[in-house]
Amino acid sequence: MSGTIICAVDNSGSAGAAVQVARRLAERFGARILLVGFAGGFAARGGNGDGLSAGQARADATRQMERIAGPDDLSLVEQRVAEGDEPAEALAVIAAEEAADLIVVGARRGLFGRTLRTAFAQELAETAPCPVVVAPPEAAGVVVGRLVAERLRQE
Amino acid sequence: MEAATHGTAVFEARSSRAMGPKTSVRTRKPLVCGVDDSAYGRAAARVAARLAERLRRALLVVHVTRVPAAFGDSAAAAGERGLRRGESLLATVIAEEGLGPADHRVELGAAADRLAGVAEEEDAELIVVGSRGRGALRAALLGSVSSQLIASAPCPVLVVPPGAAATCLSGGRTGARSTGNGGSRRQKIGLRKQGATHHRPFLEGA
Repeated sequence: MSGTIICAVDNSGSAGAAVQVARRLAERFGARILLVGFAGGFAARGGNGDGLSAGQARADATRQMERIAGPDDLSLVEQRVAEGDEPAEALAVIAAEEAADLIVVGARRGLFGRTLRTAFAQELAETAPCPVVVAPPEAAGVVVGRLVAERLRQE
Repeated sequence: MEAATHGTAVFEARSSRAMGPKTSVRTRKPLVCGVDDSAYGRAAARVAARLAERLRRALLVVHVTRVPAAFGDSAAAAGERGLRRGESLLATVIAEEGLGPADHRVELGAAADRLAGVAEEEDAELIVVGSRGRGALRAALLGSVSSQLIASAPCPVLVVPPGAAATCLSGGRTGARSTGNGGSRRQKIGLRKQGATHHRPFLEGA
C-alpha cells in the first residue's frame, strides 16, 4: 500500500463515475480507497434528504456507499460518513485526518444547472489539502445510467 | 472556429507520428497539463509530471494565452507575439520545474476552452490544472478556469488546490496573466529532457 484515495459518494448520479476513476488510480498506485458518504446539509441539498434525522441521514449515506461498492468489492470496504452543512469542508477535514493523497469526486453534470453541478467540486478544489480529481459522468457510462434511473425512481 | 476545422488534420499528423519508433509512451493516452507562470500553474505542472512518470504516460504541457490585437497590430502579429511569449514561458517553467520529457504547446484563446479542446484532440487520460483559491465572487461572476473545465472537459480533471500546492512548492513567482482575444493557432515546440522531479508521498511508491 502506498497512499490513500478518497472517493466521494453523494446521492447524485456522478458517484459511479468517481468510483470508477478512483479504482483505476488506486490500482495504478497500489493505494487504498476510502469511500466517503454525506449526511446532513449535503444530503438535503442533493434533494433526497429533506426532513431526515441525523441518524437517518447517516444510514442513507451508508446505504448509498454500500450500493456503490456492491457486496463483493473488497477494495471499497473502507467507508466514512461526512457530516454537517458544509460538505466540502467536511470532506477536506477527513482528507486531512486520513492524510489523503487524492480526492475523487463526480462532476454532477446533467442533473443540475452548470453552476450547481460544479459548485461542490469547485469549493473542494479551493480548500482541499490534496489534489482533487473531478470525474465527468461519461467516465462511468452504464453505472451512471443505472444510478440516474435509480434516483428518478426514488423521486 | 479555426480550431475545430483544423482539429482533425492536426490530430492525424500526430497520430501518424505516434506510430513511429518511439511509441511505448506515446501510444497510451497522455496527460494534459495547463500551466502559466504563477505558483499555482507551476504546482500543477509538478503534480502532472509526477503522475505522468508514475502512470508511464506522456505529458503534454500547454500554455493558453489570450492576445489583445491592440495599437494597430494585426491579429496575426499579436498572435505571433503571444506564441513567442508562451514558448519562452513554457521553456522557463519546464526547465525550472524539472518537468522531464514533456511535450509542450502554446494555444491562443480562452484557457478552459482550449485545454478541453487539446484534451479531446489528444484523447487525454486526465487534465491537470492549478487553482488560485478562494475567489468565490470572482468565480461566480467570471467563472474560473478549473470550474469551466470541470463542466466541459471530456476526461477527468485533476485540480491542485492552493492548500495542496503549498506543500509541494519550493518557491515560485506570481506571474502575469495575459488578456484580450486571440485566434486558435497552435504550435508545438519540441521535446526537452530534464532530470530531477520533486516527490510527494503518494507518488513515491512503497
